[in-house]
Amino acid sequence: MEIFGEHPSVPIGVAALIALYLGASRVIGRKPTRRQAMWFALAMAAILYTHTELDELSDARIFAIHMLQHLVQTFVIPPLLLLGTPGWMLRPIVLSRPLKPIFRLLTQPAVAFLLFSAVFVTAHFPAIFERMCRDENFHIFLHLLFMASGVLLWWPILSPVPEMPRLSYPAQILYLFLLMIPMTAVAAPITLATGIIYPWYTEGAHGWGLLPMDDQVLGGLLMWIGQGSYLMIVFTFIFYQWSRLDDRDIPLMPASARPEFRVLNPQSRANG
Amino acid sequence: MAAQPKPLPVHQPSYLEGGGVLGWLTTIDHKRVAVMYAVTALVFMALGGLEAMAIRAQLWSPDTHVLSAATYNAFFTMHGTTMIFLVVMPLLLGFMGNFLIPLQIGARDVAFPRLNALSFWMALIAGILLHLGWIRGGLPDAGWFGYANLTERYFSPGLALDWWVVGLLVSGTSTVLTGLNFFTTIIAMRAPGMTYMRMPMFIWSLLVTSILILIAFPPLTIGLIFLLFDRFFDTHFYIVSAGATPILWQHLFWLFGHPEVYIMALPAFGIISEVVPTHSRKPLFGYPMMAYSIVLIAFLSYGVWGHHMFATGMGPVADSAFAITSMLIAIPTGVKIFSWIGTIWGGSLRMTTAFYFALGMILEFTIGGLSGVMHASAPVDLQQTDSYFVVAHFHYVLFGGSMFAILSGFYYWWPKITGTMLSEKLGKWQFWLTIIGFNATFFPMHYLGMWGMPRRIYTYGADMGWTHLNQFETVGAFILGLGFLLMYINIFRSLAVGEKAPNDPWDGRSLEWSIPSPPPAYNFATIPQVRGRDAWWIIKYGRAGSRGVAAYMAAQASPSDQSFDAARIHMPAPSIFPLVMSLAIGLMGLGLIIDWYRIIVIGAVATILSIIGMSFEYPGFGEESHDPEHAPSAGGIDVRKIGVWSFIGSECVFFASLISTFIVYKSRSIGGPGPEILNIPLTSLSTFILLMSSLLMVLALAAAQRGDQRWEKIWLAGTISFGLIFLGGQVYEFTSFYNEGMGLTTNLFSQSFFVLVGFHGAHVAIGVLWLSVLLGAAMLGKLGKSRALSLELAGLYWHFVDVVWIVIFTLVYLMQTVKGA
Amino acid sequence: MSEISAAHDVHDPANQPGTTTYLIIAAFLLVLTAMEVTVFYVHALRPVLVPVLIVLSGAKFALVAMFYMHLKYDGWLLSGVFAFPLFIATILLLSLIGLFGYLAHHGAPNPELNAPRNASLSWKSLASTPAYRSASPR
Repeated sequence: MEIFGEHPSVPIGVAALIALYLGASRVIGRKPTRRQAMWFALAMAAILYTHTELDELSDARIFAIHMLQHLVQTFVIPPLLLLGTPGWMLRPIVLSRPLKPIFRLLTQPAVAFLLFSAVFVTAHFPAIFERMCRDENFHIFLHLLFMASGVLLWWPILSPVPEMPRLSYPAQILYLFLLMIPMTAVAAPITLATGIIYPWYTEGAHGWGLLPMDDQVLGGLLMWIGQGSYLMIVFTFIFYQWSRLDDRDIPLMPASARPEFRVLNPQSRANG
Repeated sequence: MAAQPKPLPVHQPSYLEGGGVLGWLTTIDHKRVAVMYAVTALVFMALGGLEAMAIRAQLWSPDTHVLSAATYNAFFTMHGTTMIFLVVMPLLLGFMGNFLIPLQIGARDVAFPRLNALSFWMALIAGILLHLGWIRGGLPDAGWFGYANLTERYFSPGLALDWWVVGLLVSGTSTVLTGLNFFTTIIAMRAPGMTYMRMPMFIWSLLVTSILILIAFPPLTIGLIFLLFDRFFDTHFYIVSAGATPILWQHLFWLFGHPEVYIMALPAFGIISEVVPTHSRKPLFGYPMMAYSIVLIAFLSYGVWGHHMFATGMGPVADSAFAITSMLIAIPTGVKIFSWIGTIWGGSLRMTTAFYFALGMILEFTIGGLSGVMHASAPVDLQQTDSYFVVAHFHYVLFGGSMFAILSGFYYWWPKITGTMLSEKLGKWQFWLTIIGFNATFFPMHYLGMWGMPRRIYTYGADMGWTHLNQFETVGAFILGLGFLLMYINIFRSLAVGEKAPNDPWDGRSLEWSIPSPPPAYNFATIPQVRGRDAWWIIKYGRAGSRGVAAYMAAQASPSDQSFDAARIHMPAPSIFPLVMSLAIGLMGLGLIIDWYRIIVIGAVATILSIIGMSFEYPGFGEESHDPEHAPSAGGIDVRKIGVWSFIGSECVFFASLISTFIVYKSRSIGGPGPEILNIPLTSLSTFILLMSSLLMVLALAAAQRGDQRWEKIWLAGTISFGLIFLGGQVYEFTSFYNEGMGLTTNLFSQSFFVLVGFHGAHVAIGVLWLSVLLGAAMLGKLGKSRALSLELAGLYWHFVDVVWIVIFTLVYLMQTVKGA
Repeated sequence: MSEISAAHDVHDPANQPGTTTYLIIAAFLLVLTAMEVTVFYVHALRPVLVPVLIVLSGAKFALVAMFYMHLKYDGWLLSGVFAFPLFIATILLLSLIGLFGYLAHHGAPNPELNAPRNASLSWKSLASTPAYRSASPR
């Protein structure tokens, strides 16, 4: 089979994840909802596609595709995984005694945000990026790291475990706004650079007949505009959730409470 | 209910009654401040309108000389500056925002009433400063955008632009204070039950606008400060021969200028979103979409300033980026248009003048928006830039958008504000004259622009073929003028013989219609409970659990809230200090311009005295004026803390503009010393000292919160002395630079360094003063546990100054000091 | 869905940091500043000076803002009021440097725009431009 061709680790990993998912469901004795199962399937498909088809193009020295791959790994797969995994499946692990404090710390919004940013920004420094292009094992490690830190990044937005809660909606929007800083800090220098930043792309045949310099600008723009527009769409969803939550009717009060009116500040009554 | 309702006297005096002239001069009631804003803005509007008509008279035929070329320049500059800074913004924010925010969110005043009065008086002083050129030195004549380096002393000698720079600085400061005030008010003082998603759309637009103000004005302030230094202290921030670039001004100005467009447009959208649903008797169609598109427009508006600068040659990548973001803005704007149409669709319409103007706004603004999308495309823009096409575009946006909305809101809220009705008949006449005159004036400009008529020319040749359309436009302009004349007549008629307005003439949806017209000084006798988006409709027409209008009125007539006592209701006391302080600031500006240093000193002393006076009036220090209603909170956070934090947020952008200028300019420096002159060991020591002062500051706060007065005083004194040591180090550093031959004007490096680090030093000095006042209060025993918040606020500012230093130390000292190979 | 996204602006005075925390933070601040100055004087670190300094000063900034300015304890509202302008400020800084740096390299026809400069945005060139490399501090 072709998918086993260059990277046997990918289908094996995906198969292991699926086995884990089904196994956990069986052991616990609950079934994920249909919607969760669908999200999970999508996540698996995305992982498979990103690391086979896309990876070949990326290995053909097409920088833009490599950037697309990174975006999918950090912005698409982690949310799908979080949506696809029911809370009851994670709870035994993340709430277990030795792991709970660690997960609690890691899923703190500030910690998750900084961890992800550090990983993402560092990985695009020329020295490290070059090593990634030349060393396949390191490459795999980094891509796994992207997905793992991506899951942490999206945790405050999509947490399936109430004990490690999501942020409130306006805070979620702000959190994602701030995400544009590290993303821009990576994308802008690549787009605006005046020379080739990553020499590996000049050291061999370039796929699609793109010039390395054009490819670099394309990749930078893809990341710059791609992440921006993606986050805009996400904001839209969050905003709608917020507006629906916020305009629900408040429950009826007892008739004796004069529902329309209320003393503004209970303390002021004491003062008066 | 424990308290027995205590009925109010039948007649409640309205906010307009009582006090006399002194009452108005010292007022801090948001409604009176709003009315004063309206009066000044209407005066300036007449002035700006007359200037516009003079401009049109001059362009009536080729080679006319109604105005000289110089006067023409002054008139179009003053027309633009006046209409933007002294008419549209004061009307939208100072007048309507001020009047309506507390009424629509169910509060008794804005968060900081004194600051509000200060904003107004400063805005008035700014307007006067801008117009003092009539008396001495000539009117500013470099365009409202004041492009460098035309504004330099060499090209514009005389006082004209000095008035402009100082006037705009004062006006900008006043606007930032307004923004801070509105932001805090909307965040913290909404009536119970009014969640964000239940705020009237006008409030949404003002919330977002105030954020825009806080973040957009600092770049303008920085640009103006550079210009001030260039004109008064011989620096050369925009002088090419020194290696500087006038493009920097354009970046700083449009970084402010484009968000500014939305500062004038978003509240207008808000007004239309209030008028349209009320007059269609339907809730606003797509409420969350409307709110979201306001947020999105505001956010995108920071990324589009470059589309004013395509002609400067920013390169293809920057041009494309700005073109894309500019085009994107059309999407949320289009959403709003469709939402309004969706609201009108199938509604039972009530065709009042207010609704006429709202419909006019939707129509005209759409036209302006379409030509706006054309400008977003860089190659198309290159054809249109600086032609009359652009003039047509921005008048369709600012007149067709903002002004029509202002007129709509004016007719809509006038009964609430004055208690009298405007004449609908005159109003309709005004509408038709306005819309005909407006289109006759500005639509042909599209053609003139495409035929090549440039902006800002005082006359044109007969052979250009522009004569007929120009004459058509001039006729249009005078019809427009007639329309506005009718408005002034209508105002006077209404005040003299207008019929008395009911509380709720339009069957309104929001809370301002639930109280008398004109409202009493305290607005709401009982703070209402909000149960949904259209709060007043829900009370009137019911929704599950609502008990209707009778119960509401009963509560307003006999408040169960015992804190309420009409005689000594907890409204803050009037204060003369806002007026005094604004006059003092005006004196300082005046003294600087006419070179009379004694006046500057008097102004400075009076400013400091009035700040101290105001701070002792403030509930923090004064006795028993501390009023729980006026220290409300959001999620347990005091309003004053939110205010200080939003100020700090604004300061972030202020320092970012300074730091980016430094980074851009230090490598363009020609001759003279460079970064190698910086003394790293000394600065490292200063950094340690400033960091330690922050530690002492938190220790002082912790002591204050424990109630440990002794250690509080000790730590506070320590903080102050560390601050003084830091300042001393800076003085030493600056002196040694002077001795080594690096003065303020030596080169680009030295001037951007001194301005940046000097401004930081000034912040430290203000911090030291603030803390010293607090230490004095602590010595008098007035800074106990209950007042620890005052210390916390000063501490926040102090730490912020520290944080800025952390950035400066790294970016300015460590990263730049390495000498070039 | 909605029950998970708990509103978070509860202000809990019991959660305030104490003197010990403040002292620890102060120690961190001093150590970080010392590291900054040291890095500056160590020659071998010159090529990575810029990123290292950014990380170190960013850490100091965060420590002061979170602990001394109490953002960590005051809920998300105030953090937002601070963080959003900070976001805009950062973007402004980056884009102005970028715009002028870009102008420097794609010289517009106007010779005035080609005045001597060496700002550039890419890390590689940033780290290797003469301004950041070699030579000892004086």
